[in-house]
Amino acid sequence: MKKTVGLLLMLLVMLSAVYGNDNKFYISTSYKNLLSNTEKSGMLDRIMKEVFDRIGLEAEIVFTRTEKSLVDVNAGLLDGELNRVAGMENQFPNLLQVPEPNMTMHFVAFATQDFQIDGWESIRNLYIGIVRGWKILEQNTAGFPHRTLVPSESELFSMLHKERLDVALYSKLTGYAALKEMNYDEIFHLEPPLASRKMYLYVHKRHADLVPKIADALQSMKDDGSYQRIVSDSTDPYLKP
Amino acid sequence: MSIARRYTLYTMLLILVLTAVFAPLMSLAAYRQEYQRVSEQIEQIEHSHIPALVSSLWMTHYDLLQEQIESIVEFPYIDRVEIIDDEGRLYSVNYRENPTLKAEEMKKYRHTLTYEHRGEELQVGKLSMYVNTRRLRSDVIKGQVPFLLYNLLVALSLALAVSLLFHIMVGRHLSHFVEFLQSSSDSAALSVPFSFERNRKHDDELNELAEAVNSMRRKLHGQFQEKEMLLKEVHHRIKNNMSSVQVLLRMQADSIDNSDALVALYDAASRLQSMMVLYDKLYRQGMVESMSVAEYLPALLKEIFEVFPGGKKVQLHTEIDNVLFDAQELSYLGIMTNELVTNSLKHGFLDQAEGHISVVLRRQPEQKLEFIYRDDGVGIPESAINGKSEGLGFMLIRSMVEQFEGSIEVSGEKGTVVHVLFQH
Repeated sequence: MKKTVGLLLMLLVMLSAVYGNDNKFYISTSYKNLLSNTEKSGMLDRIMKEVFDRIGLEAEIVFTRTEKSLVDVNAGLLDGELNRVAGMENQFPNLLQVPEPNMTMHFVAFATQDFQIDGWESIRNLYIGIVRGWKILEQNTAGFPHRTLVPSESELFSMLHKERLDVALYSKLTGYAALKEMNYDEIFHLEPPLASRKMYLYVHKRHADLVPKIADALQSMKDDGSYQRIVSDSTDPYLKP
Repeated sequence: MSIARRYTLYTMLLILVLTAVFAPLMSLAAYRQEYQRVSEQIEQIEHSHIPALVSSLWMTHYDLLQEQIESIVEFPYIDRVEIIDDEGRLYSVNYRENPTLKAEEMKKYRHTLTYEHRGEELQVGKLSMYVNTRRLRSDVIKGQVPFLLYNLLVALSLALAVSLLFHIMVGRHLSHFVEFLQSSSDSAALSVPFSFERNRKHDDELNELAEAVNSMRRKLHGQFQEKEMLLKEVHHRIKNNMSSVQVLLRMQADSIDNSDALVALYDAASRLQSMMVLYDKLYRQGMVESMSVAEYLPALLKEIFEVFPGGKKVQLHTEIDNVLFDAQELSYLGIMTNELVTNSLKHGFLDQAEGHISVVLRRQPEQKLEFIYRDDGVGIPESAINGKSEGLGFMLIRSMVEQFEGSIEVSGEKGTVVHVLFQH
């Protein structure tokens, strides 16, 4: 039933995108956390709303499953993809990257005990856990002897909580959001981050004329401090003091 | 009940008894086989599912764990699966959903689920699988129903087939054989051979039976002929001897002066006469064992009347039914009739110009025969009637009635009336 309703909504949104209001810009997201969510109260949801307001458009955030999201945007069914690392245009030629990054994503090791780490090799012999499908983590931990792939952050932090893992590798921001929801107060992240990646908005090439406008609007938000306010407002409740 | 029907009944009973004996054994074997299959299934689950369950428990992937548990209850007869993780949380399918199931109707399989971590076996949960043995038994029994129905059908079909085949191959021939034997019991028919009416001649038991019976009948026929010849010869000789004795008695009577002795000798000769008539009839007609009384008595009466000088003035009336008597019975009846008639002819009509004698023998209800002798002569004295002073004649008559186990009534008021009733 839920699937049917979801499909109908998607069809409605796509038809609206093609034939509907010209002011709306449909952006696909695969997140359901503090970055983006169905309530549209996520950090990136609020940033995009402000960015598109500044260029005279209305941003409409639409949830799409990860594996389908880029495909749909590349096919022109949706107008943009919310947050991806650089280089997606190589795989999806209809996509254009907005040059100004949305954010920088830090991939960190979460643990229940404090110890020193220094890059990927320092955790090679530890019992580590990662969420299946996170390519950057999978690639950098390939061949590690005690690696466990789990389906979601729920299992990841649960295992860490039960001390079945030494470290759980995850995005810092979303990791803390998950930990707060799961009430695992004893878990924290280790510095420095194992990797950091800048994340970008992608738009379909039919909106090529909007790319510089979006980049400029985003830059202006960073310049006038509105960007940082939204970031702080969205992430501070989840981050450790 | 015919043999064919008994064959049918016994065949059905035999198959039913065999079914009744083997059905429980087969049910038990089927139950064991099915139970073995379930045990192998449990082993298969242990090999295929438990590592995945352990992995899910280890990763705390409880959604997957639930799906895995649900996949286990897809196996036949595993009606309930429960897993308790290391924190005591229960994950189950059909837990307490079927309150009618009692613990003793469920076979429980338990496993402790462990995961090797850092060289140690850590307990991550406990698995319990419940096999519904009641349903297993019920399904096995249900599975036997077609077998039982099939056996009943086979029993019925086989019994009918046996019955039909037996009737065609044996029963109808035996019935025909019995009819033939019943319809050809006299000696003349013994010479007719019997053969079974079959399309093809078979050298089997029936053929052997027919040959054996025909051989026996041929021998019997020969023996009958020999016996009849012998009996005829015996009767002929007896008759000749009695004739000689009668001639001697009469010659003796003619040679003496004593009137009492003369009467006694003539009476004896007369009694021999009745026997001679009987033997003459038996001999002449070739009926050595039995004869109709309607044939014998008139002939005897004719002989007696011809011998007695006063017989011509007495008119004889007979009314005799056609009843078959054996030689012995005819002899008794002949002696009795001879005594009555000779007594009437000697004493009954001495003072009369003419007289009447009536002899009646007729059938009565309840297989009884009534013999009535009547004359219109002077009658007989009271002493002879009540049996106080009767002569040899009446003694013989009463003796003959006793032989017939009958009753006799004698009246002498208006002539002589003798009424004898006896079973025949």
